Amino acid sequence: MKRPGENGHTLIEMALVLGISTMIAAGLVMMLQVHFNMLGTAAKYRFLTNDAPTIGLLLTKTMANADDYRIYSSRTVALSLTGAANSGSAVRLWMRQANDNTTRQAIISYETINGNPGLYFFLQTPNSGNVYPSNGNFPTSPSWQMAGSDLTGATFSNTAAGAPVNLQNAPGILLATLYGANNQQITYAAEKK
Amino acid sequence: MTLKTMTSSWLMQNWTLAQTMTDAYATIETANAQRWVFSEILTSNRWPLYPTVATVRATFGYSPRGAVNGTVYRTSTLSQDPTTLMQTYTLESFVVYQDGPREYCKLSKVIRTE
Repeated sequence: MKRPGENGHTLIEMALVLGISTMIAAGLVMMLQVHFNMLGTAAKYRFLTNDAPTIGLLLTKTMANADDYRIYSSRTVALSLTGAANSGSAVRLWMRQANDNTTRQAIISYETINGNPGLYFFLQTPNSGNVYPSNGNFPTSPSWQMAGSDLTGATFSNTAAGAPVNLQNAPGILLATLYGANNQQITYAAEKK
Repeated sequence: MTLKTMTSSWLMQNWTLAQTMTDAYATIETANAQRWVFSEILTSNRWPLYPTVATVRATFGYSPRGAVNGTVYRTSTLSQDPTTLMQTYTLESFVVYQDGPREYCKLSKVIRTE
């Protein structure tokens, strides 16, 4: 209790202010924590909600420009043009050129380059006279990186679960299964021309 | 307010997830419809003639919560040009994903002519 002439606050007043301040601070911290939790949860799904639609669109559009394709276990195997398989992490594309009878080739491969795992695109360069050879002339460094970041794996396949062998009833379909962190997985189908 | 924000955010994420999954599976349906050997369209029973509808449960993909399952309804109609007798199929696949009271549906519709 204050006496006449005394300044300052009583212990009860101080305790009351401190108590209310603590409660407000705790409330704010709790709200902040909820938002951080939400951010964490959203981040878990980032691959499916952000990355996969773009990668899927990019892959299907790229495949639609190809006249033919073969699947290989890796880019090294794809470069050797032997051992084509029904599934693998690399796919080699043949794209007929509009102005002549030559075919330009490209390889899409999921691999790790310079410590960065991702989906890389290797585009064949022409010989002198602007002619594309039937094999070779692939750059050692990727022409561009199609995807990386949350993409943790990619498998190309022409065999779908529950489908007839090698999709023989519907030839020319390439299934691209993309993997993301936290067991995320999605499959897109692309068609050649 | 926090709860409302959380709910909205969660619903938005589920909506995006459902759209992504059904879009992806619709590409598979469209690709199959485009490339299926013409003479085997009917005999395969993948797209039976309407009003018959083939119903298939399918896994559209996997999210951090596990498998995302949905239903695919397939049917077709057949028409014939009276002059040339050329046959035309309309192949339809409805990719449906149920998320609680919400139902997401994507239609893949492909016309194939002999």
